[in-house]
Amino acid sequence: MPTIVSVDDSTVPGEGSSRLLLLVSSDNKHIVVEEDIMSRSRFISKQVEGFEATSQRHAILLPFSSFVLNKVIEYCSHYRGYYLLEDDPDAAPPGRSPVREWDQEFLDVDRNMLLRIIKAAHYLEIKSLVGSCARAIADMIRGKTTEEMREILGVENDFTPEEEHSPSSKCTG
Amino acid sequence: MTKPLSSTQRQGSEGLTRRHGAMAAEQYWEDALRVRLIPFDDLASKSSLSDTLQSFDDEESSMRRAMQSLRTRRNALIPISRLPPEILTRIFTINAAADIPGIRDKTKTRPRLGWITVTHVCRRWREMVLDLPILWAQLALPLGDKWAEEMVARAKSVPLVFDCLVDGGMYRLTTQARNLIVKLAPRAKQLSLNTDDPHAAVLFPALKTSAPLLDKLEIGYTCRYRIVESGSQIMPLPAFSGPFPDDFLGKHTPLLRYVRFYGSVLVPWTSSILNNLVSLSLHLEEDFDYPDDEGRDSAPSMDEVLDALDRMTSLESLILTNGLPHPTNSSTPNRIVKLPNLKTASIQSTVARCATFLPHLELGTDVTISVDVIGPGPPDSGRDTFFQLIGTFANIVRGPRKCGPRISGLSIDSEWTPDSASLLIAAWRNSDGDRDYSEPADISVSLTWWLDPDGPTNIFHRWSSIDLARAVCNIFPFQELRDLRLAVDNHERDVQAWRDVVARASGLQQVTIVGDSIGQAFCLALKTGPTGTPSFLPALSTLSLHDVNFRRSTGMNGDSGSKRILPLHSALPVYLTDRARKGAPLKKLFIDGDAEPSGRWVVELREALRGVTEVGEHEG
Repeated sequence: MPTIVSVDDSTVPGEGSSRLLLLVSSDNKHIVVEEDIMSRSRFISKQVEGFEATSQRHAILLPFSSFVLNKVIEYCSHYRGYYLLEDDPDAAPPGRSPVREWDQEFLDVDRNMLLRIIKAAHYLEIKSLVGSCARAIADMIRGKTTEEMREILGVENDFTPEEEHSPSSKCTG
Repeated sequence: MTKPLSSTQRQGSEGLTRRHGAMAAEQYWEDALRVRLIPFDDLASKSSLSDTLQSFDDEESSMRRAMQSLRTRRNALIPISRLPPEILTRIFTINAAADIPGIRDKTKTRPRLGWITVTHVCRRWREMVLDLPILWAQLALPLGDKWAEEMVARAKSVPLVFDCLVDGGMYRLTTQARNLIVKLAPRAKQLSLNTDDPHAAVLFPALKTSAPLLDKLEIGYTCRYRIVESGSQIMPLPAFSGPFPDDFLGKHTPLLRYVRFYGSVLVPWTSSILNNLVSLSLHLEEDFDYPDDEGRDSAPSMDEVLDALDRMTSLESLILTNGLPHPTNSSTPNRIVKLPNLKTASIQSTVARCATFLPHLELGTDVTISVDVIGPGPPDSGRDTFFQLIGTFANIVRGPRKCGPRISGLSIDSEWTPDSASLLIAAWRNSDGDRDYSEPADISVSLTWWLDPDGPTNIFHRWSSIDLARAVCNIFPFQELRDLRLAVDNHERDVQAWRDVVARASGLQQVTIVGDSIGQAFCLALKTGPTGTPSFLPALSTLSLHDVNFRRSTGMNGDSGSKRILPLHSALPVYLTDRARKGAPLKKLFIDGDAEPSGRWVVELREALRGVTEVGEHEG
């Protein structure tokens, strides 16, 4: 579904040396951000290309809250101008890599927030952020028992007693 | 055909969707049970007790299934379940790479399931993971043969990864597992086998089938130093019992790019499986001198090694740790092997072996080569030979002088005595017969002596600060020396020796000194310099002084008890102030020591530190 609505000129700050975008969150907060910052998002870049074709300015509606959107903008601002291999559409996918130090602090949030950020990053097609979040979630469950994993992620045991102990009838792990 | 909902079902569904809450749910189930179950009053009148019990069991079983269904529905709504499947897949993949199954905790008798545990969390996760063949392709042999078979089946047609640590005490490779590896080698993408168990090592010669998908091969055999009790004797286990067979991996590994051998492994230099390598890494044991079963010297000839390298036209990375042929086992003197794509090379061997091997290589223009010179320093009687070898060695690294830049970096991690290291450097410099020779600017040279002041068994422990200073003086003709790290713990100081160091080390950018005596002497030398005025190392940007004493009462001459102003207090601020005045303040200063410095010193230091962008201080 298109996520663009037309806006009048008064909504978007005037054009300067740095182009500005208007992002509208699901809680209807209007956030103005430099296009350059959000260029890490393939989704936003594609939208902007669309604007150029129609030579109209638009706001971009996003299906997540301003709280989450601001976190994503914080991430993009931090890495503004940085080359990250994961975000290079032409580069081969990176192998195993640890969560970057800054990302570790940035993603030191509660479980639900982390899941919201990864969803937003996925929607916005910011591969590096998706990767960092995925690694952070993987770190949360690594080495944990089944019960601990369930507790960490709020999952209920929905197996029958017969199903519970093994993924297959042959193995009895 | 879909059955119409009963009135109870409709009520239930509506009850949930309308969010009636706990009371409504409770009422619903009370009503339902009243309808479903036999009233207590009628129980006694039931003719067949067993039928009644069975009906209760059936009800319970059905309710349990309903509960499971309820939980599944609930799980579908929680945040983790609302992630797109591709993200969950990514999380599982990352987790699988880090949480390897089969590792045995010391406290547990059974090996851990590792990432497989996620299949026990909930139905959705299990369904997803069972349907991800890539996760199952890394076989966990220590989990047992049934698991291995199951994983092979789940991996479907994905190339397999065998990454197997067979460490005698913890896991032994069963015959069945060994047969499985041999049978599945044609499906393997990666084969990593590290063992100290001679019984497992018999697997290597058994690998005779071709491996058309193999990309990475790692073989380690480290039983050489393992000892076993045999009756009343403790015997060392034999080294690997034989070379790889001629038809190792069927001589057919067209995709093989990465090979690593370590421990006591006889490298199959003549095998064609090495032809297409991008990376070859050998980490052989230090004194592993290619013995075979009969104790004959089965070291490869220089020609065998050069032939193999000649065939590796795509080679980008070469690591040879103790893997060079013996120097007497040499090839045609002028034979040259071109490795045009080589980007990095790391060679650890004796000077003699390096000097015999390196002249045969013709490298590209952008190679970083690291040479780790090992072995003892030369005996007095062998100094001429040593000089000659070093000369050859140096000329190889100095290629740029004669045929354009070839090697952009040289690192020598020497475990020699300062005297031997000085000799090495002197021989290096004299090798060209040009005493004014200085190394090309694009060569980055670093020398590190690992002198551990805390290591009582370390032979360097006995060296004095003065020995070090003199040795360093002999090295400083290398104008390219940028980074100097020294550590020594004794009470000797010869400030003049350190003045000489400071005077000659004009290219130094970073100095790290560990030890009080040496640190204090270095500070004093910095202040006074060879001419009595503050010396000036223009390129010095980082100075780190560790384990210095801020308020030790022992004086420069060893007189104890009198409180003296230490060079650290007096000299360092003067030097730093002088640098700041000359417009070249130090960028980073790190000091740690035994106590808080005195107040006045801190004030002076702060004044002198204007312009220093980073100051580190150890706690306390």
